[in-house]
Amino acid sequence: MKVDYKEFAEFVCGRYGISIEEAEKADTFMELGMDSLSIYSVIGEIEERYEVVVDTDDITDINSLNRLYQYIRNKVGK
Amino acid sequence: MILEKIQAEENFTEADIEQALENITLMGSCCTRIGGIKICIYDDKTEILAWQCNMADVQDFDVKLPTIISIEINKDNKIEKINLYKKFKGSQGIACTGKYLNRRMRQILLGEVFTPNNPVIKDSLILFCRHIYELVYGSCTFLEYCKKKEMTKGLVQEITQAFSTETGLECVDRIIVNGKESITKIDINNLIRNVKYNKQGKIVHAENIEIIGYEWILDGQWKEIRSLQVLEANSNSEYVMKLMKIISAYWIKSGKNIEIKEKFYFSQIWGPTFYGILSQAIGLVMFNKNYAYFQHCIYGIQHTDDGRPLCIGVVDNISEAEKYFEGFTVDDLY
Repeated sequence: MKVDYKEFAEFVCGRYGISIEEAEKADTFMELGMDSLSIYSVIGEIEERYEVVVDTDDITDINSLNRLYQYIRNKVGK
Repeated sequence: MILEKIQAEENFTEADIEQALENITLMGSCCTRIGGIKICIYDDKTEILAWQCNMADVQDFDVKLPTIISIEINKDNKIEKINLYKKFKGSQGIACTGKYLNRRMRQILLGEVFTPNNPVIKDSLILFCRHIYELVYGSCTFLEYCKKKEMTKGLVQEITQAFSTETGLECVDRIIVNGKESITKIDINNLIRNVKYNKQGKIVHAENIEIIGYEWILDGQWKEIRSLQVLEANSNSEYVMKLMKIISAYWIKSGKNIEIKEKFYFSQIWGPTFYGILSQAIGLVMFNKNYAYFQHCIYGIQHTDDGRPLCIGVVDNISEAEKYFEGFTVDDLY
């Protein structure tokens, strides 16, 4: 499965209720007012959608749209 | 036991649930949550009854917060009617009123398409109450599950109990989905003296917390689901997300036990929901059931790092309620 950036960004931002532009500018999701529970929920949905498993130790590092995209893309590519 | 009683009575009503919730007790646990969803799909409408009751042993008193919601979905799959039951007690400060929360829920949800992909249904903060969100989102995902299975009736019931142990907690969950049952247990050890709270009531440091989960198998024994996991965290967000990630393995296993292959969100051991139960239980264990500390822990989980309240129950005063919660006025209290 290939991870298309536009589709990925639309999915994540749609789930957070934010624009892609906002997400791209922010250093972290927290900066956009997201709490840990919301971030976890979205990561859970991404795992299901892209059929990957996010490692427990990595979960706090993938805290922005770009980092999350790169992480999932690498996981899917493996 | 409420589960058997309800299971046996197919035509039970909101009044029956109310009565059953009034009669339940903590049964030796420090924290218990009972929940359920009943769905009836007809040709022209769908009726849903969803309930949840949180109980905690605070200062050696049983504290109970029951929440019951009834929903009617029309043939276009839109919310036609939705109601929070009249005896909603609120859980925290005086701003946590059924009058306001019911109005808010109707304002936001009436006419909305009842599907888990609807951003309004998914939004965990928009209803200003975590319990109401869990019942609405849980009902929506359970309805979708029932439709996929081509069922016209659905019933899920669950009881989650946390027991205090010498070094932490033992949490037992029993879920019955359309007659299929799964019982799981999660032990959290090395808790005492290994977690640190900050002034806002958030856990900001955890070390060497041992977490291990089991399932109850047919021959009456606990079988390990996966090997011991150790939780270490140096910030609140790290703690929250790692804890949820670890416990999600047991939630997924529980789903498999009842033949649900995909992730399912109508269970109390889904990470974000279970986190709330665990946080209450950990607060009770850590601070010897002290009422003020217990409330302080709830305050911690319901605030952002910059101090914004996430549910109306945790505001410091009425001005804060008016500031952060759209449409709230002091008249809602009377």
